[in-house]
Amino acid sequence: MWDNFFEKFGTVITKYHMQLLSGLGNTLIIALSAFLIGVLLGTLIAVIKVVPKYNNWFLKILDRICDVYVTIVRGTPIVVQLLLMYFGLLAQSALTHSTGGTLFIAILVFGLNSAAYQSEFIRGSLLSIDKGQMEAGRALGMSYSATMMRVVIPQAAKNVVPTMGNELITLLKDTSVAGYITVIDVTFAVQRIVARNYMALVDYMILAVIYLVIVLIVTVILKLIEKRLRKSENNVIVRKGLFSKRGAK
Amino acid sequence: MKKAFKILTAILCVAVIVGACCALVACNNDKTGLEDGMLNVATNCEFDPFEFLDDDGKPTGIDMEIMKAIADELGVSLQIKDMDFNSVVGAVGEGAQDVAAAGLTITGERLESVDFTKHYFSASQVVIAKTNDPILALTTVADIEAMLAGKTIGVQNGTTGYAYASGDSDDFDGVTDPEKVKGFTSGALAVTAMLNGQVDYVIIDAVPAAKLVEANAGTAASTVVLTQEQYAFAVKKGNKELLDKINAALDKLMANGTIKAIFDKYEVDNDLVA
Repeated sequence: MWDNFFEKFGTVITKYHMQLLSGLGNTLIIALSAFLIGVLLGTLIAVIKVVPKYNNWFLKILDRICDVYVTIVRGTPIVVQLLLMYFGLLAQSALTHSTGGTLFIAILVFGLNSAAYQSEFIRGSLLSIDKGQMEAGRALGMSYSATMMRVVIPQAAKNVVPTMGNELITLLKDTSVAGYITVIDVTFAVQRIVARNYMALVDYMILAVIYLVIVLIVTVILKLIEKRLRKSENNVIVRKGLFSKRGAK
Repeated sequence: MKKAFKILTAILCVAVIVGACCALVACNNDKTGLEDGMLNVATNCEFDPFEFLDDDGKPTGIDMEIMKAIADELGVSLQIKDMDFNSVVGAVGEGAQDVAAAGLTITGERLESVDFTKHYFSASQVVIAKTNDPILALTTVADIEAMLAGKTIGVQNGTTGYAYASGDSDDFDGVTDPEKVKGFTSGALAVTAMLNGQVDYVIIDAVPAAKLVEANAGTAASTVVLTQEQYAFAVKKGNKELLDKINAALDKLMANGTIKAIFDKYEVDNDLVA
């Protein structure tokens, strides 16, 4: 099965590059859109959970709703959520009748899923900011929300970037199950190619390489972003390097 | 400490390389695949009545019983591997399984990666629609194909139904745009989708279609056959020994009426053994 491996590799890529690219396009659309939904919704949920609720019953109810939502979404596998939405809850809706609508459903499910996880990361990051920051802001006369928006969240955002990057990478790979609801992502596209040329080894290797390349690109971009953000910091790890031989600067 | 790290990494690398080599070498040099005393069958048990899971979750059906009879003829035991239909021919093409028995149609493309036994059944594709749909009243293939154009069609992934509907194959021209062809993991799911309104029609093999409309109220299958196909079993390309053995067994079973009995048991008409 290894004979002519690289030759076959090349043939498959040249013959099916349109399908691969279109599948890859769908994968990226789903992953990036879902990530965005996750960031926005996740931040909202995180803030609701973090905000002090001095007897504000409205906020308390919202808090409970968020708890239930996060528990359910984190407690079920994403494949199950996809199947439930497409073949169950939204089965009769017009959304499932068109290819665009189905893509939208996929983005929705992945987005809601990601939001639940991201809300926890962001919440953790918000809580990790020194209480003194909030106290200082309030002492200067800024309102709670102003301090949140201008002092706490920017700092928390810097800390949460590595975890967010992780989440984006996880999302990219999670989209590989979109095929269960007929969305043609790159994995499904390759499965269709296998169904035509039966060269399972070569085709799935190509699939793995595609994912690897995309994830590597995302990782590099992430490192650059992190480097930029950390320029303002003045800590030992940034200046000295973790394993450097040179003495303290 | 640094040195220990380096030595540890070196050992790990060597271990991985050696392990990989072992895995590659162990990659079977089996001549027919029967040396281990087992006939490994790859199938997709979502194709009632050719292969499906019975109430106890065991693979059963026409193909499975034929395989059992062949295994008995060859004097080996039977091992059935249920997998995604898309993977079935690939598994045999790569040598992971010995033979594929999954209501496989002989197609030019499949012949490039596997060898087929002689055919044991003549099959065709039909359209499934909701009852009272106008397509059911049409009587010619041309009329039906005209009606299918531009519609959303549900199919099972990897089947000739998919190839016929989308044209994503050298054997068929397709009846509608490839993006309008939705692939599902099983015919049953495609019919469910049709009842939900997610696809307009389903195209699948005639015999499973009959079972599907039986099981789903509100559906009906057209009587017009859209293609002429032949089912056969597939073995890895070049495995002439196993191919000859299975063909010989098939001939014997067809002659002594075993095949007919199996088809009768599942109430399917088979012109080849009538």
